[in-house]
Amino acid sequence: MTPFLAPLLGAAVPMPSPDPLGYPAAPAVMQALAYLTLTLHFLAMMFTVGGAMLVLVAYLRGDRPTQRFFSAALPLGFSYLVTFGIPPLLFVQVLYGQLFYTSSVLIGVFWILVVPLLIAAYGALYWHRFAREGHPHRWLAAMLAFAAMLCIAFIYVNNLTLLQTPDAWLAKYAAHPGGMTLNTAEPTHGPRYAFFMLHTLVVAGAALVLRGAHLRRWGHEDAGRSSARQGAIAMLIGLCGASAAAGGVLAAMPAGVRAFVFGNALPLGLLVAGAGLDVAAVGLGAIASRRSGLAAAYGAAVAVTGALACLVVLRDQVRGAYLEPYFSLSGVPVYAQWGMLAIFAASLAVGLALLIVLLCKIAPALAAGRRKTA
Amino acid sequence: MNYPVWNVSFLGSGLVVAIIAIIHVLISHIAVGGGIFIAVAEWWAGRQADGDRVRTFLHGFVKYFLIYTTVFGAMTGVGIWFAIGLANPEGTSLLIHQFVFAWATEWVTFIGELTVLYLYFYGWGVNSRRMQLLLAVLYAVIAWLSLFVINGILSFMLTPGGWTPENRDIAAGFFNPTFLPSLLGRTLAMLVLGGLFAMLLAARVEDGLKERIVALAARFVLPAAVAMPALAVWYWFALPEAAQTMWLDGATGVAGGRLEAVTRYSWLAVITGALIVIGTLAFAARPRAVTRAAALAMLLIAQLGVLGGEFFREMARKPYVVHGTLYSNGLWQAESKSPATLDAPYFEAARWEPPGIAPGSPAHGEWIYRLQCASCHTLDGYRALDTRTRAWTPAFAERFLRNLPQQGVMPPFHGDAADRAALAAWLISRHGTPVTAAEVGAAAPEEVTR
Repeated sequence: MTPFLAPLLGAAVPMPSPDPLGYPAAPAVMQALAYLTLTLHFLAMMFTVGGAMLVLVAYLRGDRPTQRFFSAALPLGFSYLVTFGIPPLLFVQVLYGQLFYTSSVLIGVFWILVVPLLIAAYGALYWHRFAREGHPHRWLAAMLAFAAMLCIAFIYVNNLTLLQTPDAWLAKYAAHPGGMTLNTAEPTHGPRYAFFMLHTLVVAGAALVLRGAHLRRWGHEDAGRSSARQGAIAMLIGLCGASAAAGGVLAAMPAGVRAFVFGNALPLGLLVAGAGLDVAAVGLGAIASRRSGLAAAYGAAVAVTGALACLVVLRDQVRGAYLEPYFSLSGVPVYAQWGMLAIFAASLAVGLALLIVLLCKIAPALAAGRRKTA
Repeated sequence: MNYPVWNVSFLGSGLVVAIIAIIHVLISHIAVGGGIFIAVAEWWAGRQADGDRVRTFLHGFVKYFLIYTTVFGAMTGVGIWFAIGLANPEGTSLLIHQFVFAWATEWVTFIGELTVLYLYFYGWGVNSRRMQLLLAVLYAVIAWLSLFVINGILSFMLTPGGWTPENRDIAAGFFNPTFLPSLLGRTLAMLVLGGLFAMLLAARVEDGLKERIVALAARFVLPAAVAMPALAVWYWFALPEAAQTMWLDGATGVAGGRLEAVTRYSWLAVITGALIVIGTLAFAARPRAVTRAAALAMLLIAQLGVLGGEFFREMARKPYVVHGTLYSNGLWQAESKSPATLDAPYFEAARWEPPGIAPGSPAHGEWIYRLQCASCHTLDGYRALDTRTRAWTPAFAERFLRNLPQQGVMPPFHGDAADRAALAAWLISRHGTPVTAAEVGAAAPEEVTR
């Protein structure tokens, strides 16, 4: 056994050893990268899941413009939700690998089921995108994609709650070595899942508000106002539901973890800031639905992104509190890979610069096409 | 032993990885080769009198290419990651921790590929021709760079070169002995597959244009397919000596014909490669005869070739996940060199057996199987132990388990005589004649003294 692991092992919990290769950079570096990319992932995920929900509502209402908007945007949203999901998954495996692999194996059947569900959701969104507008089964494709995404999120919540509750592991493995089990009995599981799914309405609603603001600027006053109004309503419903679910999460937490959240400046500050930014986002969305102009709509988008960033950091703080009896990031040695980090940073800078240049050259022409067909 | 082992009945976790991987490898190779085809075809369109017809074909091509490579290619790529984490957490953790910034750089190429492809597809009819050509070339370059990165990590698993867990020398591990032949070989395979994919989509193009597109695609397939054997030979000579020996030794495997498998898969790759050359020559000679069914059949042959090549690589690596460092069942080679560790009672090191297992009981044997064998073997499906142990006697079983590494593809048994006896008794008892661990233990010395 690797010597630095001994103090990490709980007496009755089969805690695997962290990787003997240690961390390739200080945990703070990996955490910062994880926070940044997870925020982007949540943004794309909530836009796509919430958008799928809103497109189904649009089918019920016979709202063709909203159907058209999400039909074109959702495959792109899905592409980026998966792509932005890669680095957080990478960094969680670096920081908490021994916990993450274990929880994944324990629910192995469901965890691998994510793969066909991803294919089903993505395929359905593309089919929805390219099927002719009046196709009678188009709404079914949207429904399939939405259901598949709900299932994926459900499995993720199972894995990530199981990751931070190691005391449940051994019994689960003894009963289900094939991984045919979930973690639904964990008290925060239900409200946590509800929170994430309801909050998707806030993000997708903000997207509709932004769309509405742009439509009005392009001279499509009625369509713009309708879009922004729908978006503002979705944001409000999402915020109410997510707030109730967040209360449920806090109530269901172990007392010690709850005390950590309310008794420490950082988690409490993040909680208050996140909630405040969400409320501000909904308020700005409401303003944008009544007045023309882009400022309030962009303000709503920025505020909701800020709220997600607070959520991401708070979530990691809470995970640390759950794992405190078993594992601490500071107990793992760091063997820094500065050269590789520099190569990554350089490739990221070059890649982003290239994409920004291309977008600046191409996006105006693409937007002009959108403006004509709006 | 560090991690719980995912026990997948009948298929086994390794086959779950393999099924996802062979689908992904085909599509990901098409994603790069097809990207190069798009760039060349964009340039070629500019030199044709009916360039707009070619570009219309290309727009349709890219629509299918986009859906196919993102929905099935990208998602199965994520799927491999999920599956290897389940099948071999220890090995996945090693690859992640050693190469995290290489993976992160790979992610940058994903973002680039995706965004440039979208700009190319949605920019059709909006962007200038020059911009479309630039985007196509950029996509091809970025996609190939993603191969460059992943190839370093994949080839590291088979030939880690000068890397060791102690020196953690990333450059030595990344630019390892099979890096270059593998990179060039895969690049050629990508050109072949990109050309075959183009033929599939050209099958429905009207006559006149169809012949020219098939001819262009054949120019991708034939030179690359003909050059492949040279790369394969280079690759073979860069393999670890143990893998070469395994391949050369012939079909004398004890536990299920291991050497037949590695030989079979390499021959599958060779035969499918030859079939592709013959088929493409026929297509080039009679382009009008290219139908969707015929082109699809060629892609299916290519899928079999990919299966052969990838399984060969996997088999050549046995019994390791990272050659010479980490065994497939999560045992580190360094630990296996220490008799004090290797021969100690298994449950002293293992963490995932339920509490209260009686020594020598069937549960003892079963949990040794679950934690030490199930990462590679099922009981009655893929690499079935029931088949392999059908003729076992207690004495043979004990001796076999004590000498597992002599098989060439098996890691050493981790545990003491009581663990071996419990596992042997449990496996033999599954055939209907109950045997106790004590009986196996008693038979062992008798066999040795005989």
